[in-house]
Amino acid sequence: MLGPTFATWLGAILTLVVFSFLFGENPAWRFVEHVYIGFTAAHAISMGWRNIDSLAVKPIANESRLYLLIPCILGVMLYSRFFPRYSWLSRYPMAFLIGCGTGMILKGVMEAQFISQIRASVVPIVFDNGLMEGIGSIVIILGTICVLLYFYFSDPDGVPGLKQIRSFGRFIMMIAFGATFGNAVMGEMTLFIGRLQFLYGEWLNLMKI
Amino acid sequence: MSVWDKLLSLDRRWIYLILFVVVSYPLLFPIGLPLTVSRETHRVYDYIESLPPESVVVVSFDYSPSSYAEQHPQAVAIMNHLMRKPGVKIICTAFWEQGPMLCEELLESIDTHGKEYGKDYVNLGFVPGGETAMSAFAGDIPKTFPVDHRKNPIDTLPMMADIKTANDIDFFISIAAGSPGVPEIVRQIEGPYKVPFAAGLVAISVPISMPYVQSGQMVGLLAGLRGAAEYEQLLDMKGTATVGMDAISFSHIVVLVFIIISNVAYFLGRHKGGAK
Repeated sequence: MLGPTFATWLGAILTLVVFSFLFGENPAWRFVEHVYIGFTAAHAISMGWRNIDSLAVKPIANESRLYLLIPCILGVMLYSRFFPRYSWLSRYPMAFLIGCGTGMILKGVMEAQFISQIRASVVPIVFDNGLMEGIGSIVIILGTICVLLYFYFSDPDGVPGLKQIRSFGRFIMMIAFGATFGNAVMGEMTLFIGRLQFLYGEWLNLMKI
Repeated sequence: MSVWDKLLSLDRRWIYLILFVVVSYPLLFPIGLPLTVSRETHRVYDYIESLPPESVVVVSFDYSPSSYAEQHPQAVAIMNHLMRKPGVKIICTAFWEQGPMLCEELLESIDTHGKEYGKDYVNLGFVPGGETAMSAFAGDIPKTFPVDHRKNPIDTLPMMADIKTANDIDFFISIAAGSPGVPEIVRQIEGPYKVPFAAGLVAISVPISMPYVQSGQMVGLLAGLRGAAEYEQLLDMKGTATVGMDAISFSHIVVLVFIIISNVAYFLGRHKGGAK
């Protein structure tokens, strides 16, 4: 019983110290911030080592898969950045990482994020499935065209009506930003409520679920 | 100083105090405000409900403690649903390093409905590399995860005997807090392997991901704590998300009231030559 009780108390105290930031920055808050970052970094190192162990060290030692030494050496070369005289060595693994990463993304980006999205924007205006469905299709078509034209910067005011279309595109974007803001508020409030649930529930036992 | 100027220069700590009081009330004295289930959440529920026995579902824990309050209830609700489905195999994985830890915490706390570790569900753990790791996972699961998170060699886990690539997966769910997340999975798993895909998201990333639902690349999504509460309602379970929804609604009212007050104060103050 000592474990969870101690952990709960520790969590509650750390939470209250973090809340103390609302009254201004203070040494206790700074300490907790550093503890959090320290724990996160330590956990990342621990998980990183687990992966090096299972994906490289053991296969090399137990199965003699010596080709796995190549990525290990490339990984070590990344640390040459800390030594100015040899920092040029880090460019090779970095180039490898960027090259692989770019190639990997390009492989899927055309179909997943370009063609599929264009296809989804070309929708028939039908009211068979209800009035709202039809209106939704109109909004998608008009919204897509008007927002795209908002970013058409060449001769923006020369074409008749283009200014109004761009204004409508801006209006559509504002609605999207409003939705994002609303969701951001909900997300931040959820974090606050999550901490209160912990304080009232697990710590003070005042909540009944 | 006019009343409008005073309102505009209100000490922010009063706002914090009001918010604290207003949010605390429904947590301590639940009201049970009605909640409608969105179409996006319903689609995820319906899809899992339609999975036949022996289906393989991957649940990727791609979040960290910083979004725990928002996303852990989503993971709990979805895992509860999957555990209730007889014969469905569950593979837990993570492309965020803190994911396996959160997955283990969840597995220790939920009813597995008789499912056994290694036979019906498994926690493969974390693999680094983001999108590259996703591609590797989709192409060769045993090679990407030679051992699971509990250090069992993958070839000793009976349920993994016939699961080799993304082609053997029937449904992929990511509880995604950021990157790597939805776009990466769409690019590397959903697109190339045509694996049906859904996600539980932090609320702020919902508008960005909604086009994937619109295009059919995602079956559906759970939007923040509300999505989790909706899912709990569909499962007829009362979890932390359901309890938190009253508080969310109250907090939104506070935010709206302050937005209205500050705008009124600004415009009236300007009209009277006060605030600029």
